[in-house]
Amino acid sequence: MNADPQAKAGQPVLKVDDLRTHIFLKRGTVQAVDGVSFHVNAGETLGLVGESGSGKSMTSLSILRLTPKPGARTVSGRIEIDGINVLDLDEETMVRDIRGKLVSMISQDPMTSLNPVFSIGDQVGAAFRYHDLVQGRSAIREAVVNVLRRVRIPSPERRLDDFPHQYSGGMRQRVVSAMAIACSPKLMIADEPTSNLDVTIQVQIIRLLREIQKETGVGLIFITHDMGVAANICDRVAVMYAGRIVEIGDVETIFANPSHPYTQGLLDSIPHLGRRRERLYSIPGNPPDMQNPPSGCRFAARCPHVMDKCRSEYPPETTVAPGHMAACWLVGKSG
Amino acid sequence: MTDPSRAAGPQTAGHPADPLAPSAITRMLRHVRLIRAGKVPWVAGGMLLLLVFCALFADLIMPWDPTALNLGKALKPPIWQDGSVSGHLLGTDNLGRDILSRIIQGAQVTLEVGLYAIVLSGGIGALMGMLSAYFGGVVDAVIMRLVDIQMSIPSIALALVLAAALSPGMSTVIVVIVLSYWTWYARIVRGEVLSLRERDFVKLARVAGCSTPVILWRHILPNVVNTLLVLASLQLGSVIIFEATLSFLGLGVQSPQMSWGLMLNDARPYMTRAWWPITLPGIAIMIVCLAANVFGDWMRDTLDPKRRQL
Amino acid sequence: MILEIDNLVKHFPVGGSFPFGGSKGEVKAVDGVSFGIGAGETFALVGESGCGKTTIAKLILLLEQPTSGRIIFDGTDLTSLNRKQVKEYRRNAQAVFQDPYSSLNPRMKVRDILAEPIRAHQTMGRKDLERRLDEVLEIVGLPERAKRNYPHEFSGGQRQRIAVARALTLNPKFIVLDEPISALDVSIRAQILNLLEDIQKELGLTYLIIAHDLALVEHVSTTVGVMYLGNLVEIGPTAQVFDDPQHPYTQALLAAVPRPDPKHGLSEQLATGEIASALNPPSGCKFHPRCPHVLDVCSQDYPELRRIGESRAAGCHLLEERSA
Ligand SMILES: Nc1ncnc2c1ncn2[C@@H]1O[C@H](COP(=O)(O)OP(=O)(O)OP(=O)(O)O)[C@@H](O)[C@H]1O
Ligand SMILES: Nc1ncnc2c1ncn2[C@@H]1O[C@H](COP(=O)(O)OP(=O)(O)OP(=O)(O)O)[C@@H](O)[C@H]1O
Ligand code: SF4
Ligand code: SF4
Ligand SMILES: [Mg+2]
Ligand SMILES: [Mg+2]
Repeated sequence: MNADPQAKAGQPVLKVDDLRTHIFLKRGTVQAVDGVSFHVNAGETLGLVGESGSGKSMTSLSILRLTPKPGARTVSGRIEIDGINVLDLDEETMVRDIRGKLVSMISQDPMTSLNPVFSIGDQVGAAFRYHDLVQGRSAIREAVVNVLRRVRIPSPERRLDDFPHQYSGGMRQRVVSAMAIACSPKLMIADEPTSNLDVTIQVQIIRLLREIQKETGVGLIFITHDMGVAANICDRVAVMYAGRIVEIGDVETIFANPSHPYTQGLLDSIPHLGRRRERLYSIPGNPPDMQNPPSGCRFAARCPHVMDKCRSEYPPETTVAPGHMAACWLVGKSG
Repeated sequence: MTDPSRAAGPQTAGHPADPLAPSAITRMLRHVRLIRAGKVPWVAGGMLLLLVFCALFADLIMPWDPTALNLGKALKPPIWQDGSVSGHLLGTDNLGRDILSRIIQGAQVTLEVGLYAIVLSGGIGALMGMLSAYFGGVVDAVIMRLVDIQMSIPSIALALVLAAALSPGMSTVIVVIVLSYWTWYARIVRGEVLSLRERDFVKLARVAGCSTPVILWRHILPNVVNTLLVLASLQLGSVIIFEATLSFLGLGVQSPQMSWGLMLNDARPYMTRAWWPITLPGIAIMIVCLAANVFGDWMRDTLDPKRRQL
Repeated sequence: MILEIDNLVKHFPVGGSFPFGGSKGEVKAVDGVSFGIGAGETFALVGESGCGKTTIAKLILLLEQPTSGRIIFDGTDLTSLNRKQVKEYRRNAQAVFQDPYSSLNPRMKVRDILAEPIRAHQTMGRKDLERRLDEVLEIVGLPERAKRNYPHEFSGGQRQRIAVARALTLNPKFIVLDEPISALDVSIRAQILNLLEDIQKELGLTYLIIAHDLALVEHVSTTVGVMYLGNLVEIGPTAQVFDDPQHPYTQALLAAVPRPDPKHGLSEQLATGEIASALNPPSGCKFHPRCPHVLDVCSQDYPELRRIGESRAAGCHLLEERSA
């Protein structure tokens, strides 16, 4: 386990620089991720929000080098995990040293991440066996009980030999989380881990993830399209639109002072409890076709502030304030 | 996470008994450069076209009358071997009949049996599968028990019994094949329809007020057609072998009608003296069978929307 | 009341298959639910995944047979209709489902998809048909040329518009909306909701909407029913239920909604533990293993819905204590 998480807090565990992952199809190329840069510090949670198809999952799969094959390929960029550029590594090293050990992933659907024919204990234990962290049957069993206890599975000694279908949805999601933290990774990627859960269970999982993070100092990328969840769990938020990050900053800043018109629209269009029977704001239009994205700002067709310049040139990533970046021609203009 | 490559990888379970999984032949051929270059399906398609051509125009292209006996020219080898007689490209059989002509004529029977068998077993199987899945409950249970029973009867035993009861012949062969194969279609179509039935557009069609036949016809059938086509082309290979086996055992097509299996049967006593009367029809069977399998696999790949995009 | 549901029950047998072996048990998907929807209302059903919302929708749409109970639409009991009457009912009750990708047959053009309900009910001249299709397309804000395309040529939001248009072609009185926007993108959701609201005003429709997002339910509905494991635990006008939830589950549910405001912090946790299985629901009040206010009676007696004031009701023993 991480002896002293605080010592490492603040150091970047992940640096992504100008990542481009494209999907090559017969009918054209989908620029699913097209020049994405960000970093995640130890002990912090970066939220990745944005609409469906904006490239959130593809970004996280690129970090793990698990983009769907054949078809998807990371064409350029740099991904540094704990100082190692994973784009230089071969598949074997990825499997042995990186995935599951340095970076782990919690996916949206706990049912497909767990194999129905193996017991929970076997599946969680495989993490230890696989990376040779613990040896011997009883030692592994003990490690599994410990990690299940850490994700708050009640009486893990007795539930160890149960099969996934005997667990509820929330418990399965916790087992998947247990597998993710088993090897004390430096970075965890959670792709919409709560979107299939009831809100009362969702709160439990969010609490759990935060506690795990406090205990271990792991860096967390949390992908969601629920702005409420993002507000509750993230330290910083990156907003993606059509394959690019359009705004990134502290969670307070993003929610209180969004600079990019898309972020503003997104925040305006979510319903709030207590503001009933008001007409909802909606961003007009549809997201662009990712095969032929517009040459200028990708939000131009839907933006209320669009200018001529927006249509011809992609806006550079501009610093609004320290740690707050937005890619929009409006930023920095008004000063 | 124990093994992300497993957890995150595509969940393709290639169960060996799944007829929609790539056949062993295709899996082997995948390693051959040609199939990766995408040419093999065309070659296979060409072979099948050739078969159809031979069957349709047999009378025009046969160099000899396939039934004409000429004992003076019995068991002459193909022309590339010593002792051949001119005009008989692939040699002659024990009664001096031209082997090439007989193979061409045999294509007719092969195709006829294949066509009837596939259309009938596919039609019956698809209908049963659709009814079974769409109505569920007792209908489903009864049909599926029928399938189970059918699948537990060895086809050869069935053929023996039917041949005894109906007298052997082409129609018996077709009946046996249909009886053995409709279950294949029924099970796969049932699976497809079970998932289709849960698709919202089918429920919405009911909400819209469409009657059951309309729903089956307009919403279910068009969505299983791809599967049926793939199954049919894969079945062609099996049907040909099945027909050959039955005819070889004397349970199928009877002289003077002709089929490749029957040719094998006729040639068996002379096997040690002449290799060609038994080998050449065998090669014909093999080629058509291979072509049908490769073509079927290719169709499955092309019609699968997920693979089509790449 | 345009629609009334009276003690509706739907149990699904699980496991076992004919003719061998009986079933291994029953999922009590809907376990005695009653409510009514007034004309012009938007009635929302909320509750966690698997509590039986979709099953109720399917029962109302006659896609499933109820185990027992009655469904009364416009004064006629739907459970005893003959085929012709069912068809007549379908004219008046239509539906929009969650997944715009599976709602539209991928092999049919939009024209045929939209025309299908009309064709099932009447013969209409080609010109009239086209006019009607153009009308509904205009209502949902799609161009006329959309008719010539296949569903895959549209985005998720556009497909959901097509699905709404199709539900409108027969001029129904009542539409069931089963999570009509959950599969849609956040930035598109508001578009569809506003559209549904406009259509309702214009055509005087009644909606039954099923949704997960409570903030959204508060926005769009006039009445709300909260379900837990196959039972209705609270029902009432949306404003009142959201302002002052009476049932402990409703309270927990509302407290757990994540606020899109980082300063708000994570809400206090009112319900702990796991949702029980519908196969083997807890005795008495099904919420009792998770309820922070659980009483002794709760594990024994099922709390019937009790009226609270004019138009509300909730099923909890606490309320009896209070009124006693
Ligand atoms: N296997 C695939 N084949 C073709 N295109 C794909 C594939 N997977 C993803 N894409 C495309 O890549 C783009 C990015 O997809 P991605 O899954 O990263 O989106 P996302 O932001 O995670 O969306 P969601 O919120 O729906 O999960 C999309 O335009 C999508 O259509
Ligand atoms: N055909 C069926 N056979 C057996 N069980 C079923 C069937 N349909 C639904 N169920 C069960 O009935 C219960 C209620 O399901 P239902 O689909 O109504 O839930 P829901 O409230 O709509 O949930 P969600 O919010 O996830 O859509 C669940 O436990 C489900 O597993
Ligand atoms: S760059 Fe222009 S179009 Fe893009 S978000 Fe900014 S103002 Fe709008
Ligand atoms: S009946 Fe009892 S257990 Fe159920 S909600 Fe009320 S207090 Fe809680
Ligand atoms: Mg995703
Ligand atoms: Mg549902």
